[in-house]
Amino acid sequence: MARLRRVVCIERKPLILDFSHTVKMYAEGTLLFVAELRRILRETKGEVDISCDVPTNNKIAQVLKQVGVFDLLGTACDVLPVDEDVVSWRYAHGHLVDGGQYENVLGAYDGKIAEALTAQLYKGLTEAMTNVVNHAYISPRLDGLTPQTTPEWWMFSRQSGGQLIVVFCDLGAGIPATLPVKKPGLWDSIQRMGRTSDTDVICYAIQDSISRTGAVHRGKGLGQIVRAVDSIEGSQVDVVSNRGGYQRRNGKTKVFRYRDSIMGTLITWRFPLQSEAV
Amino acid sequence: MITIRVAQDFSRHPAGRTKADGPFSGEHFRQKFLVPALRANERLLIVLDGARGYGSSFLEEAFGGLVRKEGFPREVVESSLDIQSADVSLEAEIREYIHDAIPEGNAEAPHINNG
Repeated sequence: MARLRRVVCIERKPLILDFSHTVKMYAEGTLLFVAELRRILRETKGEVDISCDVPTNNKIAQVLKQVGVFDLLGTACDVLPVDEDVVSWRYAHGHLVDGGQYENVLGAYDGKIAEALTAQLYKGLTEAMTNVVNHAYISPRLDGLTPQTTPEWWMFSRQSGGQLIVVFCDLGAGIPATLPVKKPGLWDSIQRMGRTSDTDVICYAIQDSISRTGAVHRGKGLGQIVRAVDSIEGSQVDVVSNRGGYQRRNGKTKVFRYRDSIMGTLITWRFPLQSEAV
Repeated sequence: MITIRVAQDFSRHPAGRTKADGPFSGEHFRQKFLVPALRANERLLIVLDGARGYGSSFLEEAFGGLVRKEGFPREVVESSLDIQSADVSLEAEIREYIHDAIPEGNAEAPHINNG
C-alpha cells in the first residue's frame, strides 16, 4: 500500500497492478486494498493512469470483478463471478452511521445466524461506524496525501466454508493517533505508564471501553465491537490499527506488533455459521 | 400511556449518536418521540423488539440525553419509562445511562405540563 501511494500520489507515475502471481485473496487485505485504491483514485482525479490486466487465475479474476476493482480501473473483463465462495463477497461503503447498510452485507444471512448474534453484530458494526464518523478522521492520516476530513468506511462480508467473515475498515488516523484527542485522561495515564506503542494504546482503549460499563451490556463503543461475537464458540475478532493488533478468540486475548502501519483501522469478526448465540 | 414501537414508528436500523451521524440517531429519536411525550407528562412504553439492534451510542444519547441534554430530572425520566424487550439486558443498559447522566451546563429544566 505504501508503495502504491508513493508511486501514484507522490511520484505521479502510471502503474499497472499485476495479479498474475496472486493465488488467494483474503477478505481483510482485499477490503483495505479496495479502500486505499478508491482513496488514491479520488486523490489523483484520474491524472495518473492506474490499470490492471485480467489475471489468468479465474478465481482471482472473479473476486476482483465481484469487489469492483475492474470497474474502478476501467478494466474490461468478461469473467462473471459464479463460484459460491466468490458471490458470497458482499460490499458496502459509506460516510454516515447508516444501519441500513447492514442489510446489504449481512441481510442475506437471516436465518443462518442466530437472532441474538445478528443484534450483537449490528451493534458492533454501527458502533464501528459511529467511531469512524466521530473520531477516526479528527487527526490527519500521515500518508502525504491531502488530509481527508469527510469520514468514510468500508465493509465486506464473506462466507468461507462454514465460517462467516465480516470486515470493517477506515483510512483515518488510527486508534493510537486519535485516542489522545478523544480520551485525554486515559492518554495521560498511558503516558505515565510509558506504554505508548500502538498495540498498548489499542489494548488500553478497548479495556477502558469495556470497564467503563457494567458487565450486563458488555461495554461501550470499542467494547461492543470487540465483544460482539464473544459468546460464540469458535468466534474471533481482530482489531488492527496502524502498527498494533489485538485479537480475541474463544475468550482469550493476544496482541501483535507490526513493522508497517496499515494507516487506518481494520476490524474483522469471524464466527461459524448456524451458531447458537448465548 | 403512549406506546412507541421503535422498529415500526422510527426505524428498524437505529444507530449513531447525533443527527449529524446519520438518519436514525439517538438524538433524532429522543427529540422526535421522548421529549414531546415527557413534556406532556405522559408515561411511555418503549418497545425495542423488531429493530436490528441497539448500539451504546444510540441508547446513551436517546435516553441518557434526556437528563444530560434536555435537563429532565432523573427521577422523572426513570419513573416515566417502561421498556419492553426480549433482550432484558437492554433495559438494564438504558436505566444505567439514565442513572449515570449528568446534566450539562446549558441543559435547562424543561417545562412539564401538569395539566
